[in-house]
Amino acid sequence: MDIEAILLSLGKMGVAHSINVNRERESFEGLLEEYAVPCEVADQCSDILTRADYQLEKLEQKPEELSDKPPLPPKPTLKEILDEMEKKLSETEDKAQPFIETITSSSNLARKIDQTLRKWKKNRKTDFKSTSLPQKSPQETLLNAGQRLTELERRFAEIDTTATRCSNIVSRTSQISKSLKFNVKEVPIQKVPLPPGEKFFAFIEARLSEIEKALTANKSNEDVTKEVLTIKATVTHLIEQVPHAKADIIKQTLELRNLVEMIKQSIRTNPELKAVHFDLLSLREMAKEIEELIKVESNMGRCGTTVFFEVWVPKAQLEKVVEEIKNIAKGKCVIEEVPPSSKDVVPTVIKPVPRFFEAFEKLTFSLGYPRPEEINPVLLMAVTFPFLFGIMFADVGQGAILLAVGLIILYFRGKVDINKVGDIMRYFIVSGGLFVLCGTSAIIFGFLFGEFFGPSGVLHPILLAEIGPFQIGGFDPMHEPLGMLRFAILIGVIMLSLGLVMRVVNNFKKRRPKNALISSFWIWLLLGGFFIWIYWGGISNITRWFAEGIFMFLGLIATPVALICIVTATSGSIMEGIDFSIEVLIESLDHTISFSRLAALFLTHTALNYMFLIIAGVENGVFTLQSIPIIIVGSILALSIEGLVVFVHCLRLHWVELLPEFYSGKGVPYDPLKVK
Amino acid sequence: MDPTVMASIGAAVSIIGSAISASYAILTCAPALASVTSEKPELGSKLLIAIILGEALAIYGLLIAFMIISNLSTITTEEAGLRAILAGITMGGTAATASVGISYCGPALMTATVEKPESYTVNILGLVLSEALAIYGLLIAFMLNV
Repeated sequence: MDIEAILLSLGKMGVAHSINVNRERESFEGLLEEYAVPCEVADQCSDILTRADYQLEKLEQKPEELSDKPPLPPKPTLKEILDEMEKKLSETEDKAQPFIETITSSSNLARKIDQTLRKWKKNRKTDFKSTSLPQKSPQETLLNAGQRLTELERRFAEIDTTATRCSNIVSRTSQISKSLKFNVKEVPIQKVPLPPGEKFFAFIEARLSEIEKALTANKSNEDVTKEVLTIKATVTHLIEQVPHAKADIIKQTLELRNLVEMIKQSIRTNPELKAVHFDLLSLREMAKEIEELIKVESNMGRCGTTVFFEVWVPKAQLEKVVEEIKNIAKGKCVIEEVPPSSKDVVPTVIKPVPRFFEAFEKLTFSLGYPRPEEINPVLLMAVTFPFLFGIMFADVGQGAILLAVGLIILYFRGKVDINKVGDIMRYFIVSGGLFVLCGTSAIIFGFLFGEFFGPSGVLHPILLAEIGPFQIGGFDPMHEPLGMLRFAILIGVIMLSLGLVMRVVNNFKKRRPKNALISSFWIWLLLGGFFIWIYWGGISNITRWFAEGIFMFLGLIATPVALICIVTATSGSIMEGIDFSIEVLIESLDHTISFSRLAALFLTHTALNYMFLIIAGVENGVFTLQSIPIIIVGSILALSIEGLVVFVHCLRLHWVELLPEFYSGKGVPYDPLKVK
Repeated sequence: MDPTVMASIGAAVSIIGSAISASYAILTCAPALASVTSEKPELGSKLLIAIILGEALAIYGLLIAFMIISNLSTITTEEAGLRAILAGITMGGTAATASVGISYCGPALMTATVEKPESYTVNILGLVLSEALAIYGLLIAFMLNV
């Protein structure tokens, strides 16, 4: 039982990340057996969970998660905790019973009413007016309502039969009146209440039969004619009343339905029920916590009567944890502190980032979690992602729309409970910061390339800087696509060198100086190749190439490749070195060229907007009134479809080209056991 | 042949080729995505990338076709017309190759991700590398046309 107490106190400290020792049981050479979690505890826990869920379902409440977790009952063993919880659950069940009864009967009644209405071919209206409830208890009201429903159904059926009988009589009277010769003008109507009752029909039917008999004997006179017509008129009047009466009954039924809904509503807002609901939810939460504990328990091993377990603990808390375990076990324990070996996957303590950057955290961790010795690239991503996005989506107008959307999302971010909205809405709400940064970046690059809802001529490109053959801004990429391509490659080289610098830093942090050396040669290779490309515009000019280019090639490309080869070979075989250096050479080339998509997607964006500008007839930056709807359609297209394409390409550049340069993504997040 | 006619043929080839490619890529990836999300809806947003990359092919074709048509007044010589046709063929052809890559790698990526979500980062390479083919074609087509 001590082991449970230890687990509980570890959970309360919230620092221990449990390891499944059963996975590597072979290394203990058969000494270790699986620790069997006591069946009754596991069963009792899942039992409580099922019961709480069942009660919630009966109460027609959703099983939500509580935002702050309730503390477990202060008992030393799991069994006692579960007993306590079961006692509480039984009490809650007793409290919930009357509510469940009322809710069930009202739901049943509501279903019955709906069915009846459907039988009458009448759809239930969904809007409910709030009427005042009767002063009786809900059960009594429901009972009355049920009785009323039966009564109403009976009356409806009665009216139905009346209508059939009436129409029978009418057809009979009209047959009789055909054979009558007299013409009577004024017919008195007798007003009969609906439904008229059996006596009335019996009388009329008997009278009609008599008249029919008399007619066959050919004894007609004015009185008989008058009587027949009176009967006809009276019955017709009755038939005319039928729809009215039916509508009245349906109205009353609808009111009944309304009443039932009101009762349900009043039960739902009952404070006592709310307390019961909260109790059930917290019991559910506790049961889940205990389930978590049991899961950790099943990670343990056993050897005779001794329990063996391993956990990761941060260095700072180590002493405290050891002390605590010794205290609880009263010294009957062996604790071994093992520093992580090179084979171990040490869980990474991930520092929380500000809420503004949460979208970047999600994007980065989709690739994988960082290793403990690696730089967490979330904040770097928050800089580079909007940067690349802005180049591909450069537009002052549409960037401003993105920025506005982002600001609106940020404004609503604090007011919306993120767990209660739909999937797509959640993505939007989380990515407020992403929208703001991407929009800002798009505006900046829009100014550099003179884009305002496409190349409309409102803005003129602003030249920011000129480095050798590269212009940063200051040209119109629609007419100088090569300039844009050069710019894209420049950005690519800068990004890749940034990634490689990070790689050097990571290698130093991992204490692998040899790898750091390789990475720095890699930077040399990348920048050397880039320099050759600028200087020569490639290796197309053969004569110049042989005159001086070959030396440059030796210095800037062959040397770093050879060095990479040699350094790799010293730690492995020579073949491995050659392999790896060829891989590096190809990868550098491939990744740099891949950045040309910055130019391609920028041109796509511009051309798409340009097309709408031409259709709208915008010239020299004059937006006429007629052009605005077309520009709006174009912008919606650009922001939705084209924006998505740019976003995906941006993500791709990070996931495939940039992040793998220095980021393994093979870490495991530090997830300590936590109970209250 | 009349250069204008040649240029128009180029534009048509570009947009038809890319549209067929995009459609092929989407029609193989979308059913796979549908079956994957019916099992694990949370993977949907991650795997949507295959369909978006497929759709991007059509946008590239649109771009080249549009560039050719907007340059129509400057295409007066036989050579310029030929370049426009070549630009269209380049775009349509590379989009087709990219589409074949996407339509094979996309469904495979999805089914693999359902089984082992951690394999996503490796398997996505096939998808994005085949998509890169269309980008290369786009750049060359663009240069041919300017």
